[in-house]
Amino acid sequence: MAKLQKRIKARSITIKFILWFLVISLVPLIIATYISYSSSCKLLEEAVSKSLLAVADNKANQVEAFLREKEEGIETLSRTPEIINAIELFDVAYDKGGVESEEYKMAYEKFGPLLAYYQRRFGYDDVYLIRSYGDVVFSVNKKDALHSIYIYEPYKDSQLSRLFIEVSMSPEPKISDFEYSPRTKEGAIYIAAPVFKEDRVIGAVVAQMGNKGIFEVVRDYKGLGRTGEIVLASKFGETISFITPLRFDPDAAFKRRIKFGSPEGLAEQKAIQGEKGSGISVDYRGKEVLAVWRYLPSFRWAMVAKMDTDEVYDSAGKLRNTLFVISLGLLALVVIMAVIIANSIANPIRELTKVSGVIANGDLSARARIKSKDEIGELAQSFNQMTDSLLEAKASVEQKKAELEVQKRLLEKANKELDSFVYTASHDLRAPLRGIVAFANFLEEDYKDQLNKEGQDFVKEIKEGAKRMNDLIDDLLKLSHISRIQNPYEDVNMNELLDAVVKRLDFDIKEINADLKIQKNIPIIRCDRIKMTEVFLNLINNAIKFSSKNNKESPRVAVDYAEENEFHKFSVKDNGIGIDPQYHEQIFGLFKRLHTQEEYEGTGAGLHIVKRIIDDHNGEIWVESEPGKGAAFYFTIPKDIEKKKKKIGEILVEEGLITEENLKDALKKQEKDKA
Amino acid sequence: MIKKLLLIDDNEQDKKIIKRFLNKAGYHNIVTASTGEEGVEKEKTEDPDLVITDTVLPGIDGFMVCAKIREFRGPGKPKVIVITGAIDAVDAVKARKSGADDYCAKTSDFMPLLEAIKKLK
Repeated sequence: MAKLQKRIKARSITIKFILWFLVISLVPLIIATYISYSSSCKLLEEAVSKSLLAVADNKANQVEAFLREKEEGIETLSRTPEIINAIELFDVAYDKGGVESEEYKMAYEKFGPLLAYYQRRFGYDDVYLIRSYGDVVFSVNKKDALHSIYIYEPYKDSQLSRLFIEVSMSPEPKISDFEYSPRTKEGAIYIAAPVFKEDRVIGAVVAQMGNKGIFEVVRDYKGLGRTGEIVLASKFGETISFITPLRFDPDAAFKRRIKFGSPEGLAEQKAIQGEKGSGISVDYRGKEVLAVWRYLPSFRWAMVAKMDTDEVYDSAGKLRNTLFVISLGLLALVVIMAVIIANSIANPIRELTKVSGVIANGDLSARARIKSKDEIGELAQSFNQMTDSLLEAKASVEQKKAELEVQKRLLEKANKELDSFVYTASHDLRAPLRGIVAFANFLEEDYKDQLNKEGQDFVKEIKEGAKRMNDLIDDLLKLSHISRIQNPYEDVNMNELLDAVVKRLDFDIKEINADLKIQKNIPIIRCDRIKMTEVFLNLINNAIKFSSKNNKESPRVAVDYAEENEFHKFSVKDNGIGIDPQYHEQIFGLFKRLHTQEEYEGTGAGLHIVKRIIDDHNGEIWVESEPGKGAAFYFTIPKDIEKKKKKIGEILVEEGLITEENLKDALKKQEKDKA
Repeated sequence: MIKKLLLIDDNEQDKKIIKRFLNKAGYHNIVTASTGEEGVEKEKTEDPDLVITDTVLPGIDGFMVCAKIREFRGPGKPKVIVITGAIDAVDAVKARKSGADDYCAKTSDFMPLLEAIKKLK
């Protein structure tokens, strides 16, 4: 997993390119595909709708024409004299003794063949004659079922009886709704026309027709594709029933029903309520279809021309699939291109990175091998040039370093010699000085009586001169001691250190009655304890010395501490005579004095010693003061004092002129040389 | 009780000064020597109660003088005080190791030396 992540990271330019290319190409591709797909869908929808509408119109006309023809047949029959005669004859014969009577048989022989001929001729299933009382007096096929349509089954409350009532009150022929007969398991409609004799209705001629003829009209699926069909449905009570077999359900006629409000057959439900329209709908199978629906008012039927949306959008789907395949191909191409472009950029960069890694490890002879002439090639070239210069710079730095080391060693040697000279000189100076002081004392003690006032004054001057010289030698010794002796850094409790300093200065503090305030709770600080004591001794002593000459105020000295980001900051302030800013640099010089010996005693080495100690600690020291306004000495001690103690080599490494490795090698070599 | 002292120092002035302070402090029987070797010899012949020796001497140094006396005499007598022109922590340890009873700096009034002698009693 980690390896994979590393790999991905390593190839991040390639990945980025691929992602960007994909984003850039995917968006328009998706938009284009979507637009072309949806517009082709719309176009297809419109085209199919149009053709469905045309088919529906055509079929509606055909159905209408078909039924009108049947209706006209009956109407014609109702006006033929034979039929009028036949009804009258059957009427009489039926009353004479029913079907079995001689009269009826004679009437049947006379008119039966003619009616049967009409039935066949017009394509009816049956032809009935009904007399005005409502009795069926003749039937081509059902000779046994001649009853009153009001009283007897199967006519009671049937479409036939209802139609007869309608027809006997109107001069027009009528067509009934379909009726389903559980006995024959078939549906039928009746077409009836009243039969008049001298403006009096004497009965009606009725044709019975199944759904076969209509089915013949609508079963022609030409122009309806694989799933298209014309559906005819009629209202049966609270349900809608199909009146012809369906393309996907040959047994549907009169058996398959749709309840109002059900989610299926929505177009049929709309059409039966008289609506006309088209659109996406759900058919009797619950399938999504594109449908055109209308109501045929003449027969109170719903007509729906429909086609599965799957088929409608089939070609759009094919288009979409083609587009999808093309898109995939394009995307693959884009990815390959992205990889190629990314690699053409990333590979040289990787090469450069590798080479710079090698160079960073110290092998300056490594060079980037990139031959291309483009910007990357230029980069590689200038990279190589840079490495060349680096090599040169390194060589010159090495040389400089060696020179510096030599100089440094010479300087160190000279310093050491100087220090030891100062040490020996001051040491050797002390012995004769001791003599001068001692013998001057002896002179004063043993021969005071023999000296006049002037002689005594001279002895005093000798002693004073000697004392001053002693002080100078003391300071010189201290200075050489500070240079020679490097005490180890330790964690110093500054509060204790300052207490000790104050104790040592106790006499002077009490003598001038100085108000010395030292901040409490200073943290532990890593430094040279002995030298730091020297710093505070000198600074506080100076402060006491100079504040004691303030005539207006009583002497005040304050030692404060502040913790800064990277160092500790101390201050020693007094309310003494102050120092003119022009001397602020000078005062840290050796034996620099701003005042005469009479005004302020001291050799002028104190601040120089303090500065050297602070320099040794890599800290800084400065003074803020104006004449008459007291003086404030500030100094800092770095917190990471060990780290801050930089050697020249470390500075070179920091500046990037040499590597850590170079330094280590050089130090090893130096130690070897020493050994 | 210290009665006889041997003072070893190559600096005649210091010798003179020390002798004066010792006289004033009540010590009059004082033998002097100017080199380490002479000091060691004088100690053998004179048998002093206290030897005062400078550190820096021509020939063997004060510490060696001290060590040789201790080698010859064993601990106790004579007492030995090492004096020096410049006080040094390393020298103090060296003096102690060579068998000296005390170690002090030369000052113009030689108070440290007089105090050290007083402490020996």
